[in-house]
Amino acid sequence: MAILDIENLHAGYGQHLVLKGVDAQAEEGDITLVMGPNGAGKSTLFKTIFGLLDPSEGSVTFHGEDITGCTQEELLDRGMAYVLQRSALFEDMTIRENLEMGAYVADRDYDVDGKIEEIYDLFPILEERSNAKAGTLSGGQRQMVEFGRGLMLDPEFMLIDEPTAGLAPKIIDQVFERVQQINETGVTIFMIEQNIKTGLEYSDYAYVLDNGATRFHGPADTILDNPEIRDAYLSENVSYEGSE
Amino acid sequence: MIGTIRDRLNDLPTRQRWALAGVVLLGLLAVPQVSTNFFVMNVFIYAFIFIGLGQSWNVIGGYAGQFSLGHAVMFAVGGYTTAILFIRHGVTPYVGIFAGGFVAAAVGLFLGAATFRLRYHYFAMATLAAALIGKTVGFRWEYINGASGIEYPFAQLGTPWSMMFRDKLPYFYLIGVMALATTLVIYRMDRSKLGMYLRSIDMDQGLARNSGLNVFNYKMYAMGVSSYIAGVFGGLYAQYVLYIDPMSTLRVLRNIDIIIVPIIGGVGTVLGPVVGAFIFIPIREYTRTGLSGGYTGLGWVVVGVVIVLISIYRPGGVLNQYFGRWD
Repeated sequence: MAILDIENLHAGYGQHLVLKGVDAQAEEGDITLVMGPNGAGKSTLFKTIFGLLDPSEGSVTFHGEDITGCTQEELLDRGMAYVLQRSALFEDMTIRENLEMGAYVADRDYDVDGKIEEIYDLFPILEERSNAKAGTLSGGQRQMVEFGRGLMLDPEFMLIDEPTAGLAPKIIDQVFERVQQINETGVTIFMIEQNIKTGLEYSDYAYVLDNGATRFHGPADTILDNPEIRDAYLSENVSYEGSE
Repeated sequence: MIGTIRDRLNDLPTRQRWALAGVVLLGLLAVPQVSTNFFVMNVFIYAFIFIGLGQSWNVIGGYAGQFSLGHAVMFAVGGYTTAILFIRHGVTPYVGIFAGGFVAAAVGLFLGAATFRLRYHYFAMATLAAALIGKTVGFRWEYINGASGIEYPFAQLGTPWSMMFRDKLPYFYLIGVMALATTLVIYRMDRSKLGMYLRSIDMDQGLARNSGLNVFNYKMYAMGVSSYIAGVFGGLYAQYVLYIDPMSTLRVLRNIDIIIVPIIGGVGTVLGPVVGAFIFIPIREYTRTGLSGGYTGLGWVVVGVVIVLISIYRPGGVLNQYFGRWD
């Protein structure tokens, strides 16, 4: 069953329409990849889902309920989390404070400390450095804090915008492994990624956006069988491994 | 490792800071035992007033990161409210200063509602505009006697409930206690979740919103608290000087005075305004009197040099680098 259902979504900035009819779904328990060239509207799509932009047409439903017009607080309350693309941490706060910020909308009796312990179990390095200011962390550690903050409210569904952006190639696999780890705890993932080949290996389903609309979609392991997509996204002299 | 050094610094100084705070406090209480010299008392009382104003500005400008250039307006509103309530309506200033705080908070919230959609220098410019409007209103509004200001009735000097004292000593204790109480309130805020949320807005407003914070409401809350404090200290100022006029409360430079205190001492820290006030006010008062006559205005050159030195050697203020945040 689709946990998230996007239909004919139109949105943009002022007069400038970026999304011109996006259709996509995220199946519960899946990792769904959103790919496409720069300017295709991937980040705009995520911002619109998370209520940071108002759609001019179309709808986003989450668990069968229309969520367009919801505030971030309401969306977080409903179990949605959003991990931003740019390295988004409160630089002058400690790791622990950054995690606490993730539980801002939680009820008074929510076990914030217990949740932080769970996240430390998931990413032990964060516990070691829990009093370090976020500004002193490496790229990979920062990514862990961002994931951790997204997990603070026990979300069912997580939007992740380009988790590997700006990270060293050798830790890209680690990042995807962490995404998979999060997914295995029962969190449905909807993720933008530019490292298409590696990203697809870890995903169940994929959408290709182009010029603000859904161009292709299909199971992650078959999407690159489409010659058009191969032409568009993989240069011919790069050998492609991983298709079946 | 940077982390461990930082941790050690964070662990160690807490007790030392408290010890230091205790010693400083006892020292302050002892000041009148050593000297009740008119001038010395005056410096301390002004320093206390500016601790309050510095704390006030620090809530919105330091913690929440909204660089207000219009805080003299709230200071003046508190002062005028206290003075008018007392002189024209017989309300004791012991109530009046808090009423002044509420009126100042109302003005601050109005200002916030009008300007918080703006960010960075646009916000600063809008608050500067508010300062200029405040100044014009202060000089022209007949109800508050325009440029001539409002004088206190000296016949009431020393009467109970008038908060008009013949000596400086009662002012020293009264305003000193208010400055201390304000600092303790800010200390509580600094340590609470509220302090963390305000700092999060300063660090990254978009990210704070993403975490679910209603950024606008928090800014309004900070502005309300900040303006309230500024208003109360405006009232105390009026009671101390026994005269209030637009020149002393609403001139543009007054807005800068208020900001200089936390900037010297440490923006967004609890003790920053305390340290800043005890650096800025003595320099201001001693240069103003010591360098009078042909050297009038040279005091500002000294203050300017201090600010330049701080910018170079302790960016963020005296306390920021030594102590980090108070946590």
